[in-house]
Amino acid sequence: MFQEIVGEGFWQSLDTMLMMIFIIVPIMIFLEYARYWNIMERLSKYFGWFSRWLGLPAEASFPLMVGMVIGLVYGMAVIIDYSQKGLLSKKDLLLVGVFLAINHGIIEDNLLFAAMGANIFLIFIARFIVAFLVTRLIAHFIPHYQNAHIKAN
Amino acid sequence: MIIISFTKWSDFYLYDCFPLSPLFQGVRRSFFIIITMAKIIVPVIFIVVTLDKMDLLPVMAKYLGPFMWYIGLPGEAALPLLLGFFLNIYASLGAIGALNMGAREITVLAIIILTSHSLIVEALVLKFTGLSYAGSLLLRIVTGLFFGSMVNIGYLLLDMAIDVL
Repeated sequence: MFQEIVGEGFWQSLDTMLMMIFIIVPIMIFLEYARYWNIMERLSKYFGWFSRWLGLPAEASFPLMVGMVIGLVYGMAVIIDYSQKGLLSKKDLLLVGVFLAINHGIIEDNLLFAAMGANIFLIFIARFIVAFLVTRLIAHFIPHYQNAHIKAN
Repeated sequence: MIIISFTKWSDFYLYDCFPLSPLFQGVRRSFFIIITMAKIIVPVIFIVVTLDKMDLLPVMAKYLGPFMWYIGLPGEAALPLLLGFFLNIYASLGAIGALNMGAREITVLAIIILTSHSLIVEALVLKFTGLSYAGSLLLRIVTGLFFGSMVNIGYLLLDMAIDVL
């Protein structure tokens, strides 16, 4: 029985890891080129409507996009950067955090789950709707923080 | 006098405008990510296969089945769910790969796990935005389970509608 476990475990691990490799490597290369050509920054100017739709100022579109496309860690790095520069108020930071907590890393996570057999379209839409509803709900209920909305000079 | 100069492959450009250094950087990064993932996925797969061979999965399914029924998942789906909560996505993916469930179950599981994975680590990261530990924990678990069950109900209604028509 030990031999069965090792045998089947080995083949399944190999199978899963090969699938992961074929998904992660192209995505990372794509993201490196996106970082090299500053695609995120240029695209986020066109997505100002998205953050306004959530009730956030247009500066929040860059952290939102980075967090959504790349992942929570990079999105948080951008958010921390912005909060140190003072571009976002505390309430906006909180809302961006809530949105990203629910909806981050859509490309790689969706593809990984699609490789397992889930329905990407549904997951994509469901995550957006959930994040949108929850962000709006929380924006409605929290009291307005003191506006630390000080722009950098 | 012989002068030897070293050039890195990543300094070259394709057709003088397409740099190759992001390519190498991407491959390097993905290498580290895959090694980290492998350290988590492979043990998890072995654990699940062991549970499977020792016929412990039906026992687990029997005990956790009632809780899973509310979200429309089989009892053994509790394993990827718990792994997703406490570890990360890759662990629960390893567990999902070792089990076999239909597309509906995997989609519902995906939604719940994507909303609420690596709760511990991400609670620490989200603390910077002002979201408290308990707040982010509660928010993500409740939201995930609620919307997972909504999607499950959606699937069931769709099945019923297709049967009626």
